[in-house]
Amino acid sequence: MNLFTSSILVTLFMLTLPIMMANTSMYINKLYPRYVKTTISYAFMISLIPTMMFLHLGQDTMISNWHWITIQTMKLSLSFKFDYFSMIFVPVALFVTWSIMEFSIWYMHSDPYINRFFKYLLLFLITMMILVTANNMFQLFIGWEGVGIMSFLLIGWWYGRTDANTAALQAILYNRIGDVGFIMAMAWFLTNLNTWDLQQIFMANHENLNIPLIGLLLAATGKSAQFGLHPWLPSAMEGPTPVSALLHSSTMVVAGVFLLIRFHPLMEHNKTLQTITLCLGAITTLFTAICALTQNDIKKIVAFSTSSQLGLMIVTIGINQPYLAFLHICTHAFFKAMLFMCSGSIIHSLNDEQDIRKMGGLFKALPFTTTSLIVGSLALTGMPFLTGFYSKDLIIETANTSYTNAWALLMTLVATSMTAAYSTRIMFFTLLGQPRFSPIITINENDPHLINSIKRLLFGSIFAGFLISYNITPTTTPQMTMPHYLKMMALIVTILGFILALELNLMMQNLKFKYPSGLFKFSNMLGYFPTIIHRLMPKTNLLMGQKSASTLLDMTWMEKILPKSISHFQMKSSIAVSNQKGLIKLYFMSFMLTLTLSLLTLSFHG
Amino acid sequence: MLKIIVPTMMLIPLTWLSKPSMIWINTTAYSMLISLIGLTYLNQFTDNNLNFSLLFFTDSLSAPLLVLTTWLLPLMLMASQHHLSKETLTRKKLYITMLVTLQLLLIMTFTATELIMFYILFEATLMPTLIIITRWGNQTERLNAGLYFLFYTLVGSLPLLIALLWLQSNLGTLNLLVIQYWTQPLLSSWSNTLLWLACMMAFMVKMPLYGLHLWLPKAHVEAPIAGSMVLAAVLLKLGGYGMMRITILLNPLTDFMAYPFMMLSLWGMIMTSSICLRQTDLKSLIAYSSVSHMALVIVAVLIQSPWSYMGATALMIAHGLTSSMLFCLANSNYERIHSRTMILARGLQTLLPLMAAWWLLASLTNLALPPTINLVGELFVVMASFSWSNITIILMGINITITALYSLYMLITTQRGKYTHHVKNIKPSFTRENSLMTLHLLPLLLLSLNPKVILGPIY
Repeated sequence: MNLFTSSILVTLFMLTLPIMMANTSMYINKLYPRYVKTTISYAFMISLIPTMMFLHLGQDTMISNWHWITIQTMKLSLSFKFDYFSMIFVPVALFVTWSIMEFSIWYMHSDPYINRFFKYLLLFLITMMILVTANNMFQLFIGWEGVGIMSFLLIGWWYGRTDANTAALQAILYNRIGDVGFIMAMAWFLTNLNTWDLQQIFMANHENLNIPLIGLLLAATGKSAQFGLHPWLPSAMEGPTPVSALLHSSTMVVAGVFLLIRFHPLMEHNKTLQTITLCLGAITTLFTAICALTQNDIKKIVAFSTSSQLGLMIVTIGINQPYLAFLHICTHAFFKAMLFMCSGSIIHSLNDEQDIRKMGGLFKALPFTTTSLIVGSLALTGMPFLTGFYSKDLIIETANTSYTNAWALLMTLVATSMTAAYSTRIMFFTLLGQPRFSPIITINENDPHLINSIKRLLFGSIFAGFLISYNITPTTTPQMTMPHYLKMMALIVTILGFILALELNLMMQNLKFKYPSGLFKFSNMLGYFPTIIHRLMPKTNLLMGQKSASTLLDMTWMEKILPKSISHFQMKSSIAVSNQKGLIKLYFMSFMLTLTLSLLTLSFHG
Repeated sequence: MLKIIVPTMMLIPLTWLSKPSMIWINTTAYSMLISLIGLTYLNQFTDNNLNFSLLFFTDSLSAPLLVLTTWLLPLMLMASQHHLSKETLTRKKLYITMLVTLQLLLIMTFTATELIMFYILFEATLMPTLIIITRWGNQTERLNAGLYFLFYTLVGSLPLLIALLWLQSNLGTLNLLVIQYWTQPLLSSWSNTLLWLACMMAFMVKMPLYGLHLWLPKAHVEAPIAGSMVLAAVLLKLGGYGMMRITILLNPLTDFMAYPFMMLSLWGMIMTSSICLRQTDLKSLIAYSSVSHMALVIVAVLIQSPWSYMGATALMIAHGLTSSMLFCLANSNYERIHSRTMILARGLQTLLPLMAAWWLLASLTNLALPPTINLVGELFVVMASFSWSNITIILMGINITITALYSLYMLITTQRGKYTHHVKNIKPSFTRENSLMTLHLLPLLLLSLNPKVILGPIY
């Protein structure tokens, strides 16, 4: 039993070591990135001990130490929760991060501030660990805001570029809107339940939990880029590719889903919220899949596919299956991080070219990347017995057999089919056909850092799903029987998507380019969402700030009403009551008259 | 109490008798030592207060503010060195004397037992501040700013004097320790409403309440760096402190009278935040952000729940350090670029990387990143206002969002992007400046470990 808690704490403590080392000469050293990478790999291996013990014994643990503050009857202390979710997520996150760190050594090797980059990535990882292991809402909020700020710093890594800065600010803005929901939930829990501890919240027996749950859903919408607050995720692709691989595919963006999973005991019996969640997820997964269909930037396609998968996870929560959603988080981490790394490898090899129209024929030049990209895409679409299959197939089956909103489920199915379509599109444009890139580029993927890191995730993408779903204990009763057509549905729509996309691509490739249709523009312009929302809203708000708040009120009315008018009236009234009129001639005249008169009287007196 | 007041007084002869080369070092070092004495008062071992004499006392509400005041003097001295480097020796000494006088008055204001004495000292702090603004400000507008500062505050606070005199003759005492037991409930009538207004408006203007805030951006912008720092860090907090002290006299009328002021503050913080989004002037942006943060304090004080009082106290301390640090950063830019316009000082991260780190941390504390005490303060205020009325969360939420936006907008504009050509030959950041930022930041970070110290009376 002691081994359990102590090895967890060692894992968490180890991660802070390189941060502390940043004050020493180690930080100036060229080996700092490797040091960080190795630390994370050790942390991963140590974290396997408690996870295996957890899988074997099924014990939950809660560590509560260092009492922070007690306010009235509410006690806040540093408290970690090691239950099913955190015990499985921690090794997965560490494993993925380990690979991404190794990948970054290769990808960022020419960056002069590579050490700082690693420090930021590690800080991000720590905040993520705080988020998943937190046992009270305040600690969760620390991690929650921490990942937001780290994403701001990492997206804006190339701070000389305006786009990167805008994207970073955009990410913060959307996240912050979500945070308001989080704060609202915190406020509600405090006022009504007088606690922020998760256990105590779950024990609560309150009849109407709509307000906090809406707050949490809003928080998840912001962090997990659900419809309405989604545009920041594709914009965040301005950051370096390792950042996209770590933050915007496998860890940070799933934090919102993770939050909903954590608070699932409250949502279990609330049908209203489940319906809202289901519809939100379905809209997101369909809309972002549509957007992914026509994008040309390879990273943006992967980003939209992430958004779509996040929508799928939210759908899973909406159909009351948090454990499945969590399983999808874990499996998704492997292949999505790998897809980003593969696109990073391609982008780097092609001299920072991200447009898939300018790629092609890479299967000869980059055989390893090609393999991984194909495996990753297949895993993403839910090809049987790859990692994605174990969660995605289950989700679709459960959705098909559930009796909730059929439209939302239909939308999810369509989105699943589209997943195959845009995956095909990536493969078709980048890997197949003739090269369309500039011939002077020297392509080289034979760097051990690149190969090893992708290879590790490649194995993960093939086997992790099996390993995880084989080892975890089933928590909800799976649907045992269903008609054939429902059982095959997920596979059929996926294959349908594949075939359709392949046929379309083959057929359309040599056609003359027509003026794009309205539907194409809708998809390509991301549903006109950024155009409308990113123009109109900031413009109105900034204009209001300028015109009404600053110019009209502060500089005109408030000046006029108080200081200006007072001084004006003072001046007027003092002029009015004064007997000095400024009539100099008259004054002198009267003065002279007095003088002459007095002189005359004086002189004639005697 | 004398062990703080007397050394502070002795700072004045120290200034005038020091060798010309030693005036900054001597005063900074000694004032730092004085601030260490004050730290002991943070340990409020009794639940009530620490009485020093008939005149002075501290309790858990005033002790953090007292420490903040003493902590700020060395920082102000450090920040002003460059600004005064071209002045003659006598003027430097005079300037330091003004700062020391201000600190002396502020210490006594925060610890005064009698409300009349509090009032006199409260007014007396105007004088050194006024002199600092109008004598050492940088532009001609400083005279106008001084006028605004003086008249807004005076007009607000003169009714308070009358109200205090009436209370004195009615209650027989204005001793803060006694008054809470003797006070009569204030029922709703026209004369009591006027009494309430007279008591509160002085502090509302000082805070400042939205609508009465015009003096603040002007004074902040035109004041020299030390003036801006002390205005933002301590003088605004006099308003919050005074409100918390005087509301014990005004119950239960406050429940009813609070509504218009709550509305004004809630609305005003959004308005001022959105003004921040459009500011081109760095110091003006920080000043408006102070107005917006202080609106939160007003809301918290008017709600009058234990949580809101804790939030207000924590927020005052947190904001004091944060905004003072932001002003220092703005000043370090100003000393290099010679302009407050943000767009002229872009992309400084490339040139001054360590300064960029301070900018980042200051912006993050300004937007209340957990687990800083800014968050503790803001969170408690939001909790209190949520339980007062659920709908306020919408306004609070908008404000939280905009606060994050303008803080990071400020950070991005000054630090990120490509640097402009005219900043190529600027001076590197000095150790003095770096240590100045560290001394602002250290308390902020350390207090996050144990925020209980600054939460005021924990009920």
